[in-house]
Amino acid sequence: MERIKEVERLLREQKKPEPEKDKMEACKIRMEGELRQNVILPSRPFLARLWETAGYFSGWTWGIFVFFCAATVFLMLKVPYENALVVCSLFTPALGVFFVPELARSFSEGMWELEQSCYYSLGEILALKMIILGMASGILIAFGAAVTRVESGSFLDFELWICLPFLAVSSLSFFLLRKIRSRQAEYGLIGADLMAAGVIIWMWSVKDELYSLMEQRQTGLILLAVLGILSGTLIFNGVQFFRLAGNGELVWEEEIG
Amino acid sequence: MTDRERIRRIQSGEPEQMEGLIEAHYQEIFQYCYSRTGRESAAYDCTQETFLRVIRYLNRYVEQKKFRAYLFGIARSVCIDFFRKKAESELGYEEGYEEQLTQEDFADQVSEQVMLQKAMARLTPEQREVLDLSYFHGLTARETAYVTGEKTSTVKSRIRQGLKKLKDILEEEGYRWNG
Repeated sequence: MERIKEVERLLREQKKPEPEKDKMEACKIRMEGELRQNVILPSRPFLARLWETAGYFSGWTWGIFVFFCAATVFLMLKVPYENALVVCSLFTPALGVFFVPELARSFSEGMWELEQSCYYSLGEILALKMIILGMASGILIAFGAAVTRVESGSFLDFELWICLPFLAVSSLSFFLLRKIRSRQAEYGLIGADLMAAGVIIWMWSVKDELYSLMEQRQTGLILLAVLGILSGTLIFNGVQFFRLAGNGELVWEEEIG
Repeated sequence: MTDRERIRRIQSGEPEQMEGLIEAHYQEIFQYCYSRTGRESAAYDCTQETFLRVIRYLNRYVEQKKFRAYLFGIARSVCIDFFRKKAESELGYEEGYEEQLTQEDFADQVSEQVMLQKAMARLTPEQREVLDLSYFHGLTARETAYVTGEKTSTVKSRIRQGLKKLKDILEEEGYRWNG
């Protein structure tokens, strides 16, 4: 222990070269010159930054978004409502599985280190991505809400078959990305999606009993409360993910070999 | 005046405040860049580039961690970029600080320093970096984790392992322990 303390003392008292005064003065003059020439990059409009960040999304992400949009429209127009609802409820958890890893690309591609000294901070990049993906998911979810409301006359189908699986899987996706700090997180997300699909299939098998339960006022309130809790966990896990990434604490383990 | 106050003033249009910021941090950033690059000329270049990047993105700077840790984070990226841009063959030979040290008169201190530098050279680059940041530059484990992009627990583990390995190497080299 004493020897470790002495090693610590040696480390603190290391001798390192001191910079020459004239080099430091030259640096000061250069920096002041830069500042006076207004080379501080001007703020860019928010929409411009959003558009720029959207351009960095992978083609697959946008392809999946377009596919979901097209598939939803096709199902609602061409397929009987109940069958369309089954398919949409199975699709909905996949939104979280496909979109959330886009947020982690800075880490899965090993770019977070460079982004510390980039034009945008890593936290800002993630915030912009979250806004874009939130908007994309929102469009799909809103479309689902509108169609189910028109077809069934209430929001129950929307709450039960679209909202519930989406919120549950998205929240779980953020949680898994935070905890499994490696590419294995993507396998975890696939597992979460498959699990959700299994639960949805089971729910459809007991659909009649579920609808009877939902007719009771208390059950309806409980469903709303569950959706509220899931929304809360989604926001909490999303904020935690954002906070850890922005602080530089979310570091993915490098692949070995 | 604190760094935070200086930055606010620079952002508000007082460029002369930059002088104080450089006075406060130039030496430690230079010494950090020297540790990373092993060359004085590269250390000067990297130090200047670090401050340039701070200036260019100053309107984006929002204080989350201490400015000092932010500055070290930028310096680290600059040093990494430096080696990405230049091949080893282009850098040329420069007499290291250890070689200059042996020419000085403080025999015991020099001997200690030379032994320490040789022992440090036998650590992994990651261990060397965290020990340098934590002990010489005085960053906390959390700040060091921010700079290096590692988990705090990883930094603490590397510090422990690095210290133990340094002790073993110094023992092996016949270092004269006090007491």
